[in-house]
Amino acid sequence: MTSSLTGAAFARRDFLKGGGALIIGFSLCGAVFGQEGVDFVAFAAGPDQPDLKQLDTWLAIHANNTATIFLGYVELGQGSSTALLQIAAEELDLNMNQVKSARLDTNWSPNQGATAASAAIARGGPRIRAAAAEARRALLTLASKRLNAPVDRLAVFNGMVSVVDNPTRTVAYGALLGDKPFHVPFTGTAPLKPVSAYKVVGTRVPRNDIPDKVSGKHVYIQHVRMAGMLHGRVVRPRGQSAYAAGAKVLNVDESSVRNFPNARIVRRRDFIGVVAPNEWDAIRA
Amino acid sequence: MAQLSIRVNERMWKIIATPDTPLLYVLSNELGLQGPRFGCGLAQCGSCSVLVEGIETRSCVTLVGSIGSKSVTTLEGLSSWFARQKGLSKVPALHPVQQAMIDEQALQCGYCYNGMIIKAAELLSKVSQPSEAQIRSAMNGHLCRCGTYPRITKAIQRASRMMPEVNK
Ligand code: FES
Ligand code: FES
Repeated sequence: MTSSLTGAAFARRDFLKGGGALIIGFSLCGAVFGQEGVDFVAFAAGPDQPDLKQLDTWLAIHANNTATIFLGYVELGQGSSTALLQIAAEELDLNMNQVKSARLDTNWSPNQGATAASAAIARGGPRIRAAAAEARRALLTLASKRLNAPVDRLAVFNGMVSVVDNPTRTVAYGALLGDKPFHVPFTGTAPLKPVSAYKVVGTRVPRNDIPDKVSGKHVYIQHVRMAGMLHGRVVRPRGQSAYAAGAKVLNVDESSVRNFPNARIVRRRDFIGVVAPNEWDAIRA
Repeated sequence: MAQLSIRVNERMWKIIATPDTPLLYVLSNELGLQGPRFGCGLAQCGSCSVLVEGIETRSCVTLVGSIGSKSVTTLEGLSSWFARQKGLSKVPALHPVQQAMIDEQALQCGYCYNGMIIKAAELLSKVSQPSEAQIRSAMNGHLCRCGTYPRITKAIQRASRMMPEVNK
């Protein structure tokens, strides 16, 4: 089986849980990667999923002066992953080439509930906006010390912080925090950029999910392949509808699949399926 | 199970499959290709389309054993197929139809676009400047659940304007 399995190694996963920072290195080989590669280095883990009250749950700043934004909504072709990145780029004073999103995963994506009801922008947008503004504030605090200038004398363009009346004194976000966690709580209190100053939001930006979809690189769920995975098909007795409602199963004739030695019958009460390593075997069985 | 050889994207593949396996499952499972995808399995939607000797064909109802020595092209091999057809010295990264789909920001979920692109590429290989009516009738058997038909039409028109340029 040729497959769409790729490996990715995480340089570091940073747990903020329990006060002390525990650094654990691990690699996630054999995981299935559909969207963009994941090269972030730090995020905050709560008791069982990322802690929404930590800034590191929402974004990471890399040494190359780019940012990874952790989105909690699925890109379904509605374009929200691009729009949410626009919101983040705007508040951070980055350009669109400097932001990307991490593929959604319950291990590291902030849980923002279901992607439905046009909520990705309506509910997700304000959170991303607030988180990005808070990150900018934290970065400016660091820059203020580095450049020895008060925060209100600092300006940012494409992630380069400079002193307003002395533009030769600059430092990049990446140099301030590159690939390290913020380790600060997400309070939602940072001042937001006024809409009148917007440069990115409100402009037309090409959707970032489209190129992979037209070239066949995007992994749809039908092409997800895990090592050792079996293919399956549901068998519905006559009169049974979804979730095994309706007709009850009286007995299963296991010998009906004997022509397919690798196929097996799976039964959970009134739910019956057939699995086999070969998809066509599962279908025929 | 039998050993079969098939030519896909100008490469010979040896596979083990029963000859009555639909080509689609061989392409996705044995060859790991992600262009053609299962939509209906009944030749109704076109999301599984491939080119067989340049003709748009539903791989969900085409038995692998019936392919014989014919050449199969999937979305992944479309730009090379196009380059060969046009005698281009260099294979472009994308077929003009693929580029036009990006330029028009045509798709939403994109699930149906394998078939849309394959069918449009077939159309433009026969009629380089199709009328809107010709586009509509050619694309008639391809379904888009997201309803992006107007942009598909526009993108094909855009691609058709790009065709003469690549001929130069
Ligand atoms: S899956 Fe083949 S036409 Fe729908
Ligand atoms: S773009 Fe979603 S089905 Fe066509």
